[in-house]
Amino acid sequence: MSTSFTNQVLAQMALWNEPEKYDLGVHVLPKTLDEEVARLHLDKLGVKLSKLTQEQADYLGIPIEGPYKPEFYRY
Amino acid sequence: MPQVEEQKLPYKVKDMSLAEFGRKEIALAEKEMPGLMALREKYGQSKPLTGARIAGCLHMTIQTAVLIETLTELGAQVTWSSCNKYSTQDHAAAAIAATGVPVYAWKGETDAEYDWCIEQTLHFPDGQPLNLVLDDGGDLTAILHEKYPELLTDVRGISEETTTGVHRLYQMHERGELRVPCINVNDSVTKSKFDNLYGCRESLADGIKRATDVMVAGKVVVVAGYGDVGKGCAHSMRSYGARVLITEIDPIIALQAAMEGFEVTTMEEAAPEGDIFVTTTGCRDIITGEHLEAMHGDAIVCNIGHFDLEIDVSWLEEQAAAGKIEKLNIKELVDQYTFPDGHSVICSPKAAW
Repeated sequence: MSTSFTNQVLAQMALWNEPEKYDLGVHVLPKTLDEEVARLHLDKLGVKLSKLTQEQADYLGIPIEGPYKPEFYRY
Repeated sequence: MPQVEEQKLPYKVKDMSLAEFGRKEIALAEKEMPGLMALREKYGQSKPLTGARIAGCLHMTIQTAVLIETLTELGAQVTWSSCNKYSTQDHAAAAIAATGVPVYAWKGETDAEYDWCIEQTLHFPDGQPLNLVLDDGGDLTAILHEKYPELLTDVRGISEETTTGVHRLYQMHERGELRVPCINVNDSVTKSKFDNLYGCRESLADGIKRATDVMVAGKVVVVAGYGDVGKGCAHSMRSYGARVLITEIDPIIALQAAMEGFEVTTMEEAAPEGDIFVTTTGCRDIITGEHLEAMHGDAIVCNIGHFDLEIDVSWLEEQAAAGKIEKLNIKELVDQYTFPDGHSVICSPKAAW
């Protein structure tokens, strides 16, 4: 439940502090926050994450710090 | 109305003497919830939720207690009810009530008590109404829209936890009935691809064994639905040594199940074959009277979906009331129904996750 509830807290923070970003309708959290939720859990599980070099990032055309996947990527 | 406000209970839980036990388990759960604890560390000083009055409606469990205390540590005021009549862990509710958070939840609420609990969370101790909603399944959202629309004016948004609730939100929005912005938490990758899958992969077996103490190895398990929850359930049962059958309406997902090596068939064909049945669909009438009649031996029938309408328990109850089948209560939330031909089903339709 930790990943789930971490999303809940980030959603509450987003609705409270950035209401201008969320008009009437149903939204999902931006992928940067989704990646952040995962990142917050890696240490506890002993995960050692690799980091893109600038050359690799340029080659793939994505920022070193993410987001790493397009919106349509399905995991 | 002012009289009603004066009489309002500060909280309502089953037994406050359970608070100390609840607190010990909350301390253990904190170690298992690194994301929430990281948010406390990151935002505990700046308190970005100051001014927020969050009414939450989500299973009042030990894990939820860690969520509640994260919200309060970030500056929010919080009131809480459970989104399921049976899922409250009474020691968790007591521990939260002991901290001064108005929580209204206990295991085994009636329908009327369930609505009453939700309605208690709409106003805060200082008399002010909620301004944020944290929902699971959409019942709090529905009560606000249908009975208390005037309170929605001050609500900045709703965050919705689960597949069923998100489905209801999209339906409301299509009909033009939705009044406030919503965030669909369920479809964060780190929610549905994790809790729904890996969470259920562990909680299903735990639920079945607590309810029935049965061995899973060697049994035929029928999993209705192969979405994220169904995938978790199917792989869990297979890992115990069960032979797993899947039912599915979506051709893509049915193909996924087939490619994983599961037999995909209909409930009509699976009913006489299965030893354990699990509904994961979010839809109604998945296991009907006809299916229940066709089952063999002591089939176990349970539901891990959000609402308890996937299995037609009312049919069983009607048959029992009419004396056509015999009902025996085994324990809380577990009943055995015996048919005239001698076969019986053990039913636990209200399992929650």
